[in-house]
Order: sequence, then structure tokens, then C-alpha cells
Amino acid sequence: MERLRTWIQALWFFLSNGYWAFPISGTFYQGPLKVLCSPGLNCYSCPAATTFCPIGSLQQLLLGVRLSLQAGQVYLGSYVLGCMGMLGSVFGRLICGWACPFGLFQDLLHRIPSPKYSVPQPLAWGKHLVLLLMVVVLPLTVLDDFNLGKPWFCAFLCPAGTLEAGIPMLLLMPDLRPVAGLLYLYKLTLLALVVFWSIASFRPFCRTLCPLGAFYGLFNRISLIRLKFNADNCTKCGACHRVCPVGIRVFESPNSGECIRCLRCSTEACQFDALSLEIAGHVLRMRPAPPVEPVQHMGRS
Amino acid sequence: MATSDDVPVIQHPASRIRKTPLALFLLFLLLFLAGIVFDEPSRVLEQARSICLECIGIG
Repeated sequence: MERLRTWIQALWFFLSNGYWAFPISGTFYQGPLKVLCSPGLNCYSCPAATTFCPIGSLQQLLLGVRLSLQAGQVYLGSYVLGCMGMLGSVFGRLICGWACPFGLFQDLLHRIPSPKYSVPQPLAWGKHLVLLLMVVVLPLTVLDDFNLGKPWFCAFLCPAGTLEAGIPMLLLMPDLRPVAGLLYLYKLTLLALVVFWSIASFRPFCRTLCPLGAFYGLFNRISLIRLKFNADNCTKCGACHRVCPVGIRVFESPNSGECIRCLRCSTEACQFDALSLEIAGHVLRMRPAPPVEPVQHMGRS
Repeated sequence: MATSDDVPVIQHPASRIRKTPLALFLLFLLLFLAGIVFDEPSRVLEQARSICLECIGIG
């Protein structure tokens, strides 16, 4: 299942970044596909990007909302929010686990052998603050002399933008190099921190800072596709918790907002059919391979 | 690594299709359509076709 997930992540990476002529053409993709929403966090300033980033677009619309209303245009972000909400209500954070290019990047980094550490649980609230403050409140309220806000998340936090756009753009356009200053250095440092943290911990950015993950996480309990937990079959052996890369106690909160639906709990851990995937009322059972040795479990009557 | 035992098995609907996600989907579909009516996609396309240097740490 993990191999399948990696292949599907790679497929989404290439669908979201399908313009590979940019090193030859020296330009980035500007075609009509950019009206489509990227399900995962994928900077649309990336030379290869073929879709728009929902978080980037939402900020851009919100920061200019006053000017657009003054000009008689109603650009409130409803198109972008509609795209995000439709994706969230169907998939929840399944998108994070299976279709996010920056998630794939962190997954690959985590495979580098090193001591591994968990992410402190309270830090999970950080991504909700980022969504509320840096994506919505600050772009709407902190204005410059021209009555325009700033894209706070993109400008000061997003490491995907530095990786996918900042670095390639400087390589592609040498004329831009003198313009890159302290902000660029700060963002490179931030990217380096995320890289090192991703080697040591599983998906730290997704779990602590990603506003898109926070948004999709709001839908996890109610999305059309979600985990189905059968309490009658559960022995509370804890195998699902031990295998969960984000440390969820699956038998207590199978549809936690932190779950990225990697499905390791149902495909690799649970031997008792207590966990399955529910798709619009249909139950998709993932049978794990039978254990080599009898599983030690507690409290099964 | 997937084994032959990993083959997903689809069971008959154990429960009815839940209404909450469908209601939410419809709500966001309405927002999406409202955006189209107000010509927001053209603005999104315009933004996505240009590079925001400030957004990527340059400038």
C-alpha cells in the first residue's frame, strides 16, 4: 500500500507540475489549465506548475478585496474556497496523504536513515493559527499605502514556494539574483529547517504549519471518504497506534483531523477487520497479510 | 509491499450514504458557481499566470 501511495503521490506531482519544457523555453507555464485548483500545496509560481495553489490564490484575492470591490468586481475568493471545500467534503485529508507534492517531498526526506523523533502534540494547533491569521486575517487587515494587503503565508512561511519557485526562478533567471535579499535568505533558512525536521520527524510541516492541511482536517470526521471503525472487532491491541506515522490513537479517534489517510493502520496493522475505508457508504476492507507470529493482544473477550 | 492479501474487498453498503458531506459539497459547489458568475476564475488565472516575486522570497 505504501508503494502504491508513493506512485499516486508521484502521479499527482507530475499532474500539478506538468510543464517540463521550462528549462529549454526559459519561461513558465501560462496556459488555461492554471484555472484548475491544485488539490495539494503546490506553488503556482513554480515554472512547471500547471494548476493554481488554493492557499496562494485565496490570499491574493483577500488582500485585494477592497480594491476589487471599489472597481465593482466581486472577487471574494468564493471560487477558490468552493474548490477547496468540494475537495475537502469528499476527500478530507486523504489529499494530504495521496496528492500533495510537498507531502511527497517530506515523505521522501523521512526515509533518510536517522534518529526519528515525534512531533509534540500541542504544535498541531499551529496550522490552525496559520490558516486563520496568515491566510485570512492579516492579508485582509494589514494594508499598505495602496490599500493592498500582503500574502503573509506565501511571503513569510511557505517552504513549498521557496523550493518549487524561489530556487528554480533564480536558476532560470539570473537577472533576478541581485534582487534576492534578506527575505530570500530567511526563506532558504526556513526551508532548510523544514528539510532537517522532515528527516527526523514524519511530515512536520503538514502537522504543525500547513494551512491547507488544517482546512482539510476540518472535514476529516464528515468527509464522504473516511475511516470506518468497527468497535466490536477491536481488541485494543494498539497495533494501529504503533504503526500510525502521525501518532493517532486510531481506536479512539479514527477520523482525527490529524489523519492523512495513509491507511497503514488498516492495511499493515489491524488483524481483526476493525478498520476499513468507507466510501459513500460502501465499505472497502483492506485485508492485511496474516501475522507471522500470533499477535499479543489485551482484553479480547 | 502489497501482497495478494492486500486486495481491497468492497462490501455492500453497510449504512446509507451520509447527508452531511453531500450537503457540504453542495454548499461549496454553490460558492464555486457564485465565483464563476462573478468572473473570479479569470482573476485567478491572471494571478496564476504571473510570478509573485514577493511570495517566493524575491523582491
